[in-house]
Amino acid sequence: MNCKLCQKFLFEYLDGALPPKKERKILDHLSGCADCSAFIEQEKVISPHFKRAFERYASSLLPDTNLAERIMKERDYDKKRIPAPWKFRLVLKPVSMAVVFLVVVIIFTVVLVRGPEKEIVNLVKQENVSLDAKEEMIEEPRANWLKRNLILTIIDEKQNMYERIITKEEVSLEY
Amino acid sequence: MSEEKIRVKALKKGDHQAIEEVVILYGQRLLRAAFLLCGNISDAPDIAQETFLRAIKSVHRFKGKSSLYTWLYGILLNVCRQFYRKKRHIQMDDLERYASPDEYSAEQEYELRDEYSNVVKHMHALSQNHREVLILRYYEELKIRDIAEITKVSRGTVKSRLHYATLALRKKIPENLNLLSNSKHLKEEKQ
Repeated sequence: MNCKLCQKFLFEYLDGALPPKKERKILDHLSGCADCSAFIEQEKVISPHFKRAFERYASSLLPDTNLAERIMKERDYDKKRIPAPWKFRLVLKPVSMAVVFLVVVIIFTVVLVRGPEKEIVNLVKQENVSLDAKEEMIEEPRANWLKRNLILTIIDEKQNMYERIITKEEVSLEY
Repeated sequence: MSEEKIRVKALKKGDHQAIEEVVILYGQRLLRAAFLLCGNISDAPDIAQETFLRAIKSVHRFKGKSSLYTWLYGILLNVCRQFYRKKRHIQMDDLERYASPDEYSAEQEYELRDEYSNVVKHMHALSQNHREVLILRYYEELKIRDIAEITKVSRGTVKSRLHYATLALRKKIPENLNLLSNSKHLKEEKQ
């Protein structure tokens, strides 16, 4: 084991969190490496020194005897402020979000999809309007992607009509 | 079922007594940790209180993978981070408030006070991330694995933060007060 690999596991070695096989390898390396051993020694010096320093600083803070009381008071206040229990709130949130989503989808379908579609269907159904006029009306700038299908239908219809005319002409020519 | 599991179950039910029990059990410990993290006597109780209130509200999310204290500590760190995002900088209290233990003579006590106060003073000058790992490692005496879990970073990041935090502290502490500077390894590093 080299120093780089050993240094990677030195903290875990100090924590005693290494598997026995790896720990033995680290011990073997430490016995022959001054740098890595120095790191362990340094940690052994630092650890109690810092602990002591932090403890002395923290001990200057007097115990807060009212902490539990304040927390309970604040909690009761929170409870009064929000009448619904948390379980209900947890259910309410996804349900309300789902409702909003559904409403948006319905509005989208009715206003953006069904509206123009109905308009175009009515347009196409009009018998007194010629096919060319229908095509022109559909190709207005306000026509959207939904109208494309209907345009194609009209074109198909036209093509069928021409075919019918041609076959009629052919039949009449034959006679 | 262990005692902690029973306590957590009662907490999830919103049991008044269980909440009080947890506050009594971990309150002072968390309060001191908050004080160390924020360095201000007036802010520490607010941070500890906010930690418990958040814990009570979100106890249903506690899955029991770690101990209750570790989970509470995670919340405490988040509260501290939010607190200082608002405040921007730490306002430290006077370090001369240290309690004086009887075991030292007046001279020894003076030297130690200087040395310890230097460590804490410079610790508070470090970044929030470095301060957190230092406190978790050397005050709470947690293992690297647990620190990584609380701070929600990888073990490698924890080790790297620890390394840079101790290095920064060593650079700031004056040579005559620096207990750590006696080690051979450090001298080599300084050269």
